[in-house]
Amino acid sequence: MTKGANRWQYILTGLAALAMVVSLCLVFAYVPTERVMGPVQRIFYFHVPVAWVAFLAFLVACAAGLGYLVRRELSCDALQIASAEIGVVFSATVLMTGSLWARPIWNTWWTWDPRLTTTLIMWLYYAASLMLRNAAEGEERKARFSALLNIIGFVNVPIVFLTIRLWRTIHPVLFTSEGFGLEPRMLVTLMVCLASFTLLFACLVGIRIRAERLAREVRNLQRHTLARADEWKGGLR
Amino acid sequence: MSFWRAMLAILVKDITVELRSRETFSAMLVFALLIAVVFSFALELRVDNARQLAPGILWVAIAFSGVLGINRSFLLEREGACIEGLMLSPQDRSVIYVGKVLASVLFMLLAEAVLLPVLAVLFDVPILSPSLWVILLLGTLGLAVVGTLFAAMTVSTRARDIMLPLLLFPVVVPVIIAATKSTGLILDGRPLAEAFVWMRLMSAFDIVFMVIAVLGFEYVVEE
Amino acid sequence: MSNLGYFLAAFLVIWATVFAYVYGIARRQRNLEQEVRALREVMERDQPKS
Repeated sequence: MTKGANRWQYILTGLAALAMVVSLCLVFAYVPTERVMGPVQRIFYFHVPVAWVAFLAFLVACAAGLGYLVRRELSCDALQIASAEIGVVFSATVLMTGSLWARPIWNTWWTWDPRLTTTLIMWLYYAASLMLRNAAEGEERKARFSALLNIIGFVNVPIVFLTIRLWRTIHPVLFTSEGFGLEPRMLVTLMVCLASFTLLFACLVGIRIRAERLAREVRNLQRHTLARADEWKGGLR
Repeated sequence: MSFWRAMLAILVKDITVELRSRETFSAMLVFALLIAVVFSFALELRVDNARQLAPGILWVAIAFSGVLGINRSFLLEREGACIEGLMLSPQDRSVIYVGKVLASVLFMLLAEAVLLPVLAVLFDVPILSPSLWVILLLGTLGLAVVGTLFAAMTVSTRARDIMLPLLLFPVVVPVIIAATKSTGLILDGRPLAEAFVWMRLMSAFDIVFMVIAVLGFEYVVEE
Repeated sequence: MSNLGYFLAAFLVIWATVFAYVYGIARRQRNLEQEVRALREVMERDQPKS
């Protein structure tokens, strides 16, 4: 069981950092300014990758949950908690950047855009599922419940999205998002940003899993020392 | 014992337990009425906006009182260590789940049966349309199907009182949206065809989550 | 706030959030490593007696 980061994790982090630097250069200097929305449109090149990572995180959590229920391996559990947490963090970021984009463009902090609204609901749901995991007792039970909730959460994403989209078309809200075409330079920038944020996701998952393994080791040791202490006390009587 | 008979047995058990104390049902009913009244004050109910507000207030009342009822039903099981007892029987565990869903749906529908006339009076809305009752059934089913699965998990945790609504409401947002939209359309006297899309959505939701829950319940109660 | 200000704010929000999360994990990791060391010491101590 490795306690420190192994060689691959260092390589991954290096790659992610490099990709990020390249992305920043592209977003700040290379990509042209969009005609209609102006410079603030550049938020798009961060907002979309962050949303993508949140989606990916919940997908990975769902897959890891399924993996746990089938194989009962604790490594699946570590992956699912890491992914779910990162998903919550990145969903919150999507909401904040979404608001910061909406405000200058449409003069409102919130639009009931289906994607943003679905993100809000998913954020609330996964945050609640993390709370349930905390409140549950027993490692095995925590893993089992988290697995179920991660699976249900991801299955729910399309349902919620389609419902809200239906709700909006029949009950139109004022704004439509995305109304611009993508020039090749914009597309390239977007792709690079997507790739670098995906690498970032991989790094964060690695870090979180490592912390989870350590926490597990602590819990095992605690149980071990308590058992020893009981033995010892028993010996005295 | 066949699946149906076992399921019926659990349903009858829940009804019997409730008949003895009548605690849960009366709490659900009073809570639903209270919510309707409080929201009427909070949203400044007047003659001109009553029709608009009625569907939302109806479904908020149903959702919250439903959560109360489902929560209590599982808390009582836990207190009597009933789930363990039930699991000793050589049945497929999903029997427990379906039985409890039916019990919850029954109690919620009963509460709604009392709630509707009260709302008819408060909001001056027509309640005698069968399509409204279908919508109530579909929506209640949606809440109960997901709620029962989640409640089985939440009552075994430390924060057992508050976790159910926290987890349930994000998931049942589609049901709430569909139920309020379709209720509003029916109360406004629009043709049924317009409400159909929402009713189809609720049916799909109910089926999808029923399947997921029946499969997943095994994993919740395995110990 | 000028429009560019919103862009910078969004940029900062993303990085502040990511770094806050990483910092939180790192701090938790440090505490856990301390605990591991302490628990290991307790175990070594108990060894000769059992």
